[in-house]
Amino acid sequence: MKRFALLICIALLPAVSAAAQSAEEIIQRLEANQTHETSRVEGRMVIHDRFGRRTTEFIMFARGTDDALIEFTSAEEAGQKVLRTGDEIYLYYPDASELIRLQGAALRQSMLGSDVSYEDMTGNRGYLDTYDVRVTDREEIDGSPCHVLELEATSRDVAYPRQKLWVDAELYVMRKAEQYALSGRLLKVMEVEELMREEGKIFPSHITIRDQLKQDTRTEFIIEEARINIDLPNRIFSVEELTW
Amino acid sequence: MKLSTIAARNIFRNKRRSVLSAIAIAVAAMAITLLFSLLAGMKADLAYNLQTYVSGEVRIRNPRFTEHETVKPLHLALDAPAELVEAAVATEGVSSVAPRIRFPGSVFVDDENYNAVGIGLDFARERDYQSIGERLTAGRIPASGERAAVLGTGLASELGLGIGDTFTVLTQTATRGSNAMTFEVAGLARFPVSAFTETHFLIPLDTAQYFLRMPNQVTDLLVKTTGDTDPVETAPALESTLGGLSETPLVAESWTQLRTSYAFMEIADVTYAIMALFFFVLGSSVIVNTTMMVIYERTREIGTLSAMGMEGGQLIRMFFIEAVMIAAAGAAAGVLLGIAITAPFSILGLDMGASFEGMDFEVSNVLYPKINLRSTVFVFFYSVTVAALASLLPSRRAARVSPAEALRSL
Repeated sequence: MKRFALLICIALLPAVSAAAQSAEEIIQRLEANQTHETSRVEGRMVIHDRFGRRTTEFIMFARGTDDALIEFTSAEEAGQKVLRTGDEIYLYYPDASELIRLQGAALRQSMLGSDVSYEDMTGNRGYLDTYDVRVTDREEIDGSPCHVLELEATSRDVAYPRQKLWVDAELYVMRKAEQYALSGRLLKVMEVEELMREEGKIFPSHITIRDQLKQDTRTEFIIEEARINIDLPNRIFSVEELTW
Repeated sequence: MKLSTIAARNIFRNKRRSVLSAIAIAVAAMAITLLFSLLAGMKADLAYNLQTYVSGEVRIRNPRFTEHETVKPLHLALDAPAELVEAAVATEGVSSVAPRIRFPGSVFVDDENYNAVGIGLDFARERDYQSIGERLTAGRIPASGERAAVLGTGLASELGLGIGDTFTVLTQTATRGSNAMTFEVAGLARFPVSAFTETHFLIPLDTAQYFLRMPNQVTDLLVKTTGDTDPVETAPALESTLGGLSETPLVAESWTQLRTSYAFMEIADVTYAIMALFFFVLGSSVIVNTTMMVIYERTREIGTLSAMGMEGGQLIRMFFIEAVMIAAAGAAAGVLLGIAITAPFSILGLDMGASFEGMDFEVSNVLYPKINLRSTVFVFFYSVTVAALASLLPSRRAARVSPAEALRSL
């Protein structure tokens, strides 16, 4: 889930009224909503698996679609950070004297045992750069009319060769997404459970992700507090600052 | 004249034929003796390695850990404070105890990522348990609480690390989150099992407990018993003694009761039985072939003996006695030669490193063949019996041939 960062960003976007549009236009409006100068989000990640559930709290800073910094604040992971800058993912652990730069197969590792992999956080190019998109249907999700879009990757450089998106036809926020392997196997499902209104903006505040390759697991992202277009020093997205 | 005397004379009358026949039997007996010694050594070695590195003679752990072992559930570890370990040591029949935490990790060196297995262990206790000091090829044992490790020499070579270098390990913790820690390479070790040498690193137990968020916890408490103690009997005693000292449920199981561990021994038993059978068939065919050829080539002699009045039954008995004599001499020589070859290797060891390279099987690179009196005596009598029985078929056939026909055949 590059989409963890993106969905949280999406959320911070203004609602826009809907009209009948081409798939490209829908994606453009969706992505326009996802792009923010800067944002700061406080939230928690609730991971459910066969052993029960556990909660991890975090603060996330983001700048545009390129840069994001997640700092975990709950006691067990206190001080651990994940920096995404462009396509690079760096992990900082207070007990390690060096940064870990994830690449290759390591990107497929689960983030803190959740249903989200680090690979999900990479990739800053827009949907239209990497997928062919088409509108296939219109469906209601929780009473909200949605455009159903199917995306086929035009590049091999993506985590999911096929995706299916449900985009709110009125608010232009993602309501649901399904991500598939090349074989057509469903890999992940994301559902927006709740929306949040803040300073005239509307955005998802509660997202549930299910990794379909794992049994009995799901991960909830819950935003407690969000601020957008705030002053963030450039240095917080730098590798040098990460070890500070 | 007694048949045994005639048989003995026949043997010495044609010394070259008799010696060649005895040598063939000796080689077969020696090969079987060597194989038996090697297999006995491999089996003892496999048992030692499983008990030392995998399961102990008795393994104590949280039963729920075993239930979910495939996902390495560190949060289902065993609560093992010092008094519990001491109580295990004090249990009758226990010789040493090794508290351990075994965890998979990703090792990062210069932006490259490698898979490895870490073991958090109490180096002081491991001196008794596995003579850890003897495994060191360079450097030192890390001190308690130190962020330092002993690396298998194979792993160190793959990572390009030497003494004093550092490496970072990323792993899942007992809180089911993740953590990474940087370790200094304090020592290098070569373990008997190549898979350990190539993938394992050892860190102090208390460092591992902090790293993995497992205060006073271990995944396994491995127990070795004194020589005359049956681990099957020690396991319930340990379970009953330690049960009250741990806040987590615990189960103590003899290594023979562990499916994953003892299965290796069962697989080994079957493999060794197949190898032994193959050698027996090979060895037996040499003995049978030699004995039968020796009789078949003597048709003219048989005709002469028959013409001189020796009856069929006497002929059969004579060849039988002759075969037994040659086989006894050959088998005795073969078995003694096998013991002579095995004896130095049973002390110095047989380096099978190149053969076992890359094999994920708990057999050591250096094997120590074991001479087993029972099996060598068995090999001797087996060889003699096969040779004696093999003499019956051609001699019975020869006994049925008329003297004139036998004399005409050559």
